Amino acid sequence: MPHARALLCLLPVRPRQAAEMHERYLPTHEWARAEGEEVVIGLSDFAAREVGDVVHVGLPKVGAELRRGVACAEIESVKSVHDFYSPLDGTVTAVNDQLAQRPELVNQEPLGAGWFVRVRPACASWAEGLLTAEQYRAQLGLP
Amino acid sequence: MRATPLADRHRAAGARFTEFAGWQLPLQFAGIVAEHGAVRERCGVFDVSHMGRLRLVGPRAAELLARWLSRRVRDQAPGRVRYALALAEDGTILDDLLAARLGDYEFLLVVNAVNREALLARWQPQTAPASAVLGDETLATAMLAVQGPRAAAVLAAIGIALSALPRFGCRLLRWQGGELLVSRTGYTGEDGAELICAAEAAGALWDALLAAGAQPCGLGARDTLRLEAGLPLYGHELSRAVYPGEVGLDWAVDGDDEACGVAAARAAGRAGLHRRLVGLIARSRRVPRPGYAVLRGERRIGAISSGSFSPTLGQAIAMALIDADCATPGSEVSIDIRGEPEPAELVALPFYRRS
Repeated sequence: MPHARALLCLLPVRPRQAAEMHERYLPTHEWARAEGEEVVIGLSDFAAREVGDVVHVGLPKVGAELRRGVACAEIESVKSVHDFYSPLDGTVTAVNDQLAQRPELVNQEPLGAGWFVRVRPACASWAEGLLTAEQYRAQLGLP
Repeated sequence: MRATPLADRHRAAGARFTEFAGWQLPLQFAGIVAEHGAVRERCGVFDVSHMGRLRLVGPRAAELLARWLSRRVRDQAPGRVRYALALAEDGTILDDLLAARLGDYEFLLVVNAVNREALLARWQPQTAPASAVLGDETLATAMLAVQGPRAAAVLAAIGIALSALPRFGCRLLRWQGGELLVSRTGYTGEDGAELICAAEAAGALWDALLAAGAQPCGLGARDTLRLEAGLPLYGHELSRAVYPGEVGLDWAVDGDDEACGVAAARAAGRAGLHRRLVGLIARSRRVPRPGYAVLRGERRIGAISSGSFSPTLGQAIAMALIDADCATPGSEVSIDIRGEPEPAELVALPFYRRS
């Protein structure tokens, strides 16, 4: 939707900042963000820097059932492999196919084009118990 | 934990550090893939001051060294560097190293950081002032590796000419008033040189190399570069559980039968070795990591010794020690990646050879 993007740029707040305010986090560096009835999940900016060059992301399939705190994806960097834990209970409705060809999107735009999967949450209160962006940053000792 | 003379510079440059063999070393600066590319296409510089530097000096230096190393020493001319192994009495591998002959009675050995103290403890009792003295110069000096197709040009720009220095040649020269040992060697599969200078001179040398266009590189890129070049790493491909012949290093065992471990390594080779070091290219981008099992059907035929994503090939690659009867290039095997068999093709090493 190129129009939506252009409009957002006219707003006084940068789109990335606006989006960041709505992400909720697991302490293990995964974010979740409501988009309509569904929730998009991905890896935090901080963790994307920490893991280094991402070379492969193993994603769950559409239809997979996710449980909060249970590993649902794996992130391969040059040096190591990391588990990715689902921040909520729900069902995968879409996966980010772009990551197969361009895993570096996780490093470049962790909160945007580097998203992992889209989830239909099991309940409306899925965000309860997740950290706000401020709480997440505070946990990391970041300003 | 030990730090190199350049630690403050690395910190200021935003390096991410890692612990390696008791040293705190830069893992990456700009990022492993970017640094890897810089070395393959242009020029990178590595702080490898953790490598052990041992100087052997005395009238019987060559004779002693010939007993310690797997290679011939007597026909090694001054100004030449040889890759050699230090073997245990049973013919397995204690370390791999570069031995530079600086003069008739003088050698510099560059050994792995993790083995420096054990080798000193093994060799020093065999020395005496009347024969030769083995000194540890690791902490008093620094070592930089300048690697890549533009390495010679970068070095020329700071007054270090490689043009007269053949591959595996070394020369002592003066740089900004101090002594500098230059050797045309490296661990990346590219042209380049390794420089050894006094610890106090390292900062100026590092700054000059960066100003001349070398990109700072960390241990992460050093590992992906050496893996693509099929170069073994102590603790991964080489260990006290491995014979030279199993990892394709028979050629590095051309020393006297009296040399420590040489006769045993040859006897093991004649008796027949049951494992071979091979290359693997994975079909998926899941990376085989050290220790993962290699399978042919249900049979476990060996284990991964080193594995990484190859920035040059854009594929996951690995080296593995596997049963010799399965080691035919072109064969299909699978790698147990955290419980799931991932197909891979067996290939001859190296993965990358510079054109």
